[in-house]
Amino acid sequence: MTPLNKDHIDSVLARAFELELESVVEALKKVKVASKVRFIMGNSNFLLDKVILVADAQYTKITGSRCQKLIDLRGKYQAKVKSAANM
Amino acid sequence: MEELILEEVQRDVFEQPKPTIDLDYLYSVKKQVQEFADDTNSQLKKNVYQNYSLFIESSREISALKDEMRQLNTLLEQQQTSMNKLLDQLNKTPIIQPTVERPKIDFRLEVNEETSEVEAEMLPSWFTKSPEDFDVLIAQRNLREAVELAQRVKSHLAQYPKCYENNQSDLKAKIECRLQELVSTICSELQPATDKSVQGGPRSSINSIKLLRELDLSSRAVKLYLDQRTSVMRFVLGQQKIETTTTLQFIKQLCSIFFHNVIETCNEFKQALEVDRSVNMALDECIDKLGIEINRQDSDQVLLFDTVRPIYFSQHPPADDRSPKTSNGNDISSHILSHHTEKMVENLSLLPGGQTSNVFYNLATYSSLTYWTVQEFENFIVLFRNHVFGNLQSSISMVAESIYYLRNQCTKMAMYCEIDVSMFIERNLSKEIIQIIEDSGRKLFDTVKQLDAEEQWQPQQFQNKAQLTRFFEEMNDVELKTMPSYIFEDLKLRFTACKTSFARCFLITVGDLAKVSLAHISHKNRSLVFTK
Repeated sequence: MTPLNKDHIDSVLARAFELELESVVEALKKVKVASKVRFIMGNSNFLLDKVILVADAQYTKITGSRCQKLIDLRGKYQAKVKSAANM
Repeated sequence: MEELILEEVQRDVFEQPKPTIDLDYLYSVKKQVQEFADDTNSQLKKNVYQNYSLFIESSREISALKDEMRQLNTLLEQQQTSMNKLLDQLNKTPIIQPTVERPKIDFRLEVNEETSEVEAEMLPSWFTKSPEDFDVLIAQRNLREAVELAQRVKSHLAQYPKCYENNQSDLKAKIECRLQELVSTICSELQPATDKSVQGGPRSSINSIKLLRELDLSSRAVKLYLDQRTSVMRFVLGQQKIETTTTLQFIKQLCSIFFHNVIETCNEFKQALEVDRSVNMALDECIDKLGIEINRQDSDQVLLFDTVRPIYFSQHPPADDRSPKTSNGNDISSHILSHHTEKMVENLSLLPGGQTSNVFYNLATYSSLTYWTVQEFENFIVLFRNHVFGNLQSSISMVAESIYYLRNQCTKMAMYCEIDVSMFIERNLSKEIIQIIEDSGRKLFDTVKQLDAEEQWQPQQFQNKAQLTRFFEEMNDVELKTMPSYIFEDLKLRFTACKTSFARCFLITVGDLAKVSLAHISHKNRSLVFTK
């Protein structure tokens, strides 16, 4: 893949996903009810453990290389979400 | 009973699955039909020329008979004159004298014998009769034997370069004229046909190319053949109609036709011009005679090929998105016979070693094929761009799928005929691809913002089982197959509707963008690949 092209695509995907994850973190910071926190955490896990992995597998299947920016995002936001939930 | 029959008929008519016809099957049927058409055509030609040949033979016999009659007539007249003279002398004197003319005749015969001995060696009868033989062979379309005769004439001229001296200019003109006629006849087989048979494959061209090669006219064979393939391909592509199918199916159809033709042309070209053998010979010559160190690795060979100019340069106008306009359904000659394919003047050299080959000549032949392939691909890209990006209604998924299909076809072609044109997609479509990436990104950001604004953090609730089933199907389409395990109450999901909508939208975009990416060609971006 042309580096510029791959970088462009990876950035677009990672930025969109990050925007979505940021809204989850913001919601966790605002919510105080434990059941609500668990529900939002469940949604967060769905995005981080399911959607990102399926996206990476699909991307790799078509292009032959992984979308590293999405994988990096997963590690970063797993910690961030946990921290926001504990606040 | 009637009801049973009616039921059976209904089942046959309405319930029988329609047979699926794939493109490969259609091509094989088309090929068979073409072969039958070629056979019939060839048989007809042979019959016509067989009759023509008999007619010419008869004419020759009649002509010979006429000459013999004339000679007989002359002899009889001479006899009559002699008899008259004898009678006159008998009337004058009783002694019968032998004819005084005889010694003179004998002397003339001796001179003729000496001359004919020399002439017979320099101008044997097969050589002097060769113009008539050429006529017969060309008329019979027995081009193989005609070429053999031409080669025999050529070697005779090499052995007796002065055989045309001594008032033989008429014979020289006749032989040269017949040879040009032979070349024109063979070339005409490579000209694009002026009717629907233009749609036939290139199989019938192989013999003509071989014959031209035997006459040391490889360059002309290369030019005519590749021009013919260009014309045929443009005609066939122009015949495709978008009205009958969806845009994506139409694009796939165009790609399939284009690559099928290119692969067929490459294989035919390599076979007819023995490219593999020639290239290996050329490489051997480079190593042995010129002392060039060639590692026979791809990279080295590419460098070597880069120094070789192709012997073919297309003069076809660049393709555009408009289909050729036909005056009627059949006659396409005005569209496919461009100015350079109508007439090509190139003299057939009868001198020995007329077209000397050198180490680069064989390489140049292959370069011509790669040059042609690239030219045609770039022209095809214009057509592809106009159909895929020129339509404002095209969805991003459709565009992505079209590019992906095009790229896969390039990979297939690289595998089948060792010419990789993938990099020309990047060169020609990079602007459009960047636009697609940006549009997809913008659309995705807008969706994320809108869904966040709507987020209520409530479990997604379905109204009924049908709605739930449809939801599972939609998620299955984007590879989220475990959704049923997240239903925790009757018709309730553990996630919000906004999150599942985002997941679906994001995964569709991932698929689209992965398809327009150029990852597939990174490891084989080796220019035009020459893997001998």
